[in-house]
Amino acid sequence: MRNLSMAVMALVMVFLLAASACSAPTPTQAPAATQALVPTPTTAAGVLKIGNIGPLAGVGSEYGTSGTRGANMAVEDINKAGGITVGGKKYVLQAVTSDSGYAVDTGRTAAEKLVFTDQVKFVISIGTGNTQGSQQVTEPNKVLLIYNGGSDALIAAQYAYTFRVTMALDGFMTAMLSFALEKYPQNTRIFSTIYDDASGKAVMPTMQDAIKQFPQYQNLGFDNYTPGTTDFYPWITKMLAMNPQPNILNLTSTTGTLGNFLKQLNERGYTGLIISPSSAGLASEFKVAGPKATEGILYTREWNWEGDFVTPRQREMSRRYTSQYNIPMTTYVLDGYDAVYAVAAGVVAAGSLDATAVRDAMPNATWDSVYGGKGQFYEKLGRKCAFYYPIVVGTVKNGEMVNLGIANPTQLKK
Amino acid sequence: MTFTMFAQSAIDGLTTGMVYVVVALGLTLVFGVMDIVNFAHGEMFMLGAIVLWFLSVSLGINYIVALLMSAIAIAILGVLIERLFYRPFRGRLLDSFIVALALVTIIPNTVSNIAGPFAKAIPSPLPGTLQVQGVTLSLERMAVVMASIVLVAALFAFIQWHKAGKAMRAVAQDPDAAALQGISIDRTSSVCMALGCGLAAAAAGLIAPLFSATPWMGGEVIMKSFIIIIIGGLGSVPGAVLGGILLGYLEAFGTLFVSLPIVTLFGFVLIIVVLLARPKGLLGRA
Repeated sequence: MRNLSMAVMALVMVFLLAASACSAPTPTQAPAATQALVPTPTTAAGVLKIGNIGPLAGVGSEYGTSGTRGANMAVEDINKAGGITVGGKKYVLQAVTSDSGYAVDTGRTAAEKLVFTDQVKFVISIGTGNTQGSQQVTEPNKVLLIYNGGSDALIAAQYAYTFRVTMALDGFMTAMLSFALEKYPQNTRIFSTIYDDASGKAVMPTMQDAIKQFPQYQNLGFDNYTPGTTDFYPWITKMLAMNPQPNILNLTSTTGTLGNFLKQLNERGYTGLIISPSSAGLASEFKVAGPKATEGILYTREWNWEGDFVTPRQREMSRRYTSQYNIPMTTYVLDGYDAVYAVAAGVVAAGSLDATAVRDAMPNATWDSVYGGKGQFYEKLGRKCAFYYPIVVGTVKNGEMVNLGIANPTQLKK
Repeated sequence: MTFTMFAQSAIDGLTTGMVYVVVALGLTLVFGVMDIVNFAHGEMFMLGAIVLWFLSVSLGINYIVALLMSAIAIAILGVLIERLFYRPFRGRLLDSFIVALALVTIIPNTVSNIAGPFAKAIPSPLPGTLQVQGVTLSLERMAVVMASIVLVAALFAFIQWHKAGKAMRAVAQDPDAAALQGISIDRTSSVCMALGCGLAAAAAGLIAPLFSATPWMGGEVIMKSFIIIIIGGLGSVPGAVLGGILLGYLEAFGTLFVSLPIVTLFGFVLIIVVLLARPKGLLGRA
C-alpha cells in the first residue's frame, strides 16, 4: 500500500511538473517557464541564436511574457521575410527563450545558461532587476545585451556591450509630466510611489531626476512598498495625510498591484490625478480597480490599439497578438519586437556575427521600428546606446481606455 | 498624529489583522494536528481565489454559492494532497517539508499556465464605504471582519465540541495515545487537512473581492501566516488569532512612521522578541 502511494505520488508529481513547465499553444497560456525554441524554417542557411529572456513566472511575468512574445514574433517575421544576410551568407534567427525570474540572482542564472550552455552571443532581456543580473554575465563575456528597463544605470560607460531598447523612466516621465502639466496646469503637487526591489531601487533616481526637470512641480518626495503588497490601506492613511492631491505618480511592477492600489485609493476618497508610466496588464488591473477608481488616470504602457494615434502596423500587431494569446497587447511586446530588429540591424551593419563588431556597428544601425519611422540608438551617458520613441498617453473615460495624445520626451503634440 | 489618522489606523489594523487570522488558522491547525509545515497552504489559498473567480466570473455562479463550492473543492483537494503527498512522509518532517516546497513551485506555475498570469478581478458582493468622522469604513472589509469572527467561532466550537474536533485535539496532544484510544490517525489527518485547506479557500473567497486573484498571491500569504503562527505559538488556534491581530496593528501603526518594506521587517523583529521571551510563542504549548 505504501509503495502504491509512493508510485501514485510520483506520477502526480510528474504530471504537475509537466503542466507547470510546458506551454501548450493554447491562446491564453504563457510561454514555457523554462525554455522554448521558436521553430526556424528548414534551410541550409546559418542560424543566429538570440537569447530571449524575461520573467515568465512570478510577480513580474506580465512584463516578461509580453516582451519575450514580442521578440518571438519578430523572429518569426524576420525568418518569414527570408532571414538576414551577413557577409554574403543567409542566416535565420532562432530565439532561445528562458525564464530569468524578476530578480538579480535569477537573471544571472538565466544568462549563464544562455551564454555558457547555448553559446548565445546576443541576448534580449525584459525587466530591470533581472537584467542587472544578466549583465554580470554578458559584459565580461562580451555578449551583446539589449534590454527593456527603466534605469539608466545599466547603460553606464563601463557597460559597453549593453543597449537599451526602451526609454528609461526619464523619457516616459518627461513625456507624461509635460502632458499632465499641459492638461492640468493647476495640479502642482506630486508624490511618488515605487516598489522596493532591485528594479525600483534602480529606477527611483531616474524618476526623481525627471520630476526635477519641472520646476512647476512641488515634489513631496516618495515612498516605497514591498512588491506583492495587496493591502495598501495603512499606507494610504499616511499618504493622504500628506495631502498629495491632485497628483500621485505610481510605479508598479507586479501583477495585481496597480489595481489594488487604485481601488483602495478611491475607497479612501482620493480624487486627484494618478499618473502611471510603467504598469503592464492595465486592462486586467483596471478591472480589479473598477471604473470609478480609474477614471481620468494617465498611463502609457497599454494603449487602445484601435484608437487614435496608433500606427497601422501597431494595430495589426495588436490584432495578431490578441488573436494568438487572447489578451490585450502591451508596449512591452513592441519593445521585445524592436529589440530583435535592432540586433538584426546591428549584425547586418557589422557584416559579422562577432558581438564586439556588432557592438561597434550598433550606434549607426537603423531598423524599421514598430513605433514608427527608423529606429536608432540615441546618445545617453556619453555613447549612442538608448532608443527613444513617441508614446501614446491614455486615460479612462466612462470605464473605457481611450488614447489622449502622443507625447515624447521633449515635445508634445495632440 | 491626528485623531482621524489614529482612528483610521485602528480600523485598518483590525481589518488587516482579521484577514490574517482567518488565513493563518488553517496553517496552524495542520501543524498542530499533523506536525507538518505545510508551505503549500498559501497555494491552497490562491487556488481558493482562482476557483472562486472561475465559478463566479467565468461561469456566472452566485458569489456565496461559488464561495462554498470553492471551499469544498479545495478541502477535497487538501484531502488528496494529504493522502498522496504528505501521508507517505508522516513523521518525517524534513521530507514533508521538501514535498511542500515542490508543491509551492508547481501549483502557481500550473495555474499561471492554465489561467494566465494577470490579475483576476472578482466583483465585490458588498461595494461602498461609510465615512464616520473622517474615518473610512469599507463595507466589504467590515463584512470580512464579521465573516472572519464567525469562522473563528465556528472553528473553536468544532474543535471544542464536535467528535472529530475532539479527535483532532487528542491527536495533536499525543498521536500514539489517541491511536490507542481507537482514534484513526489517517481519518483525523484527512479531516484536519480538509478543514485547513477549506479554511484557506474560504479566507481567499472572502478576501479576493477586496483585492484580486493572481497565481502568485500565495507567497505573501504564507509569509504572513508563518509570522502569525510563530508569534502566537505553533499549533495554537487562539495564538493564531492573537498573532494575526497583533501583526495587523503593528503594520497599520508602523506604516504611519516608516515605509512598507521596513514595516514588513517588523513582523520578523516581533518574532525574535517573542521567541526570546517565550520560546513556544505567546500561547504555544509548553
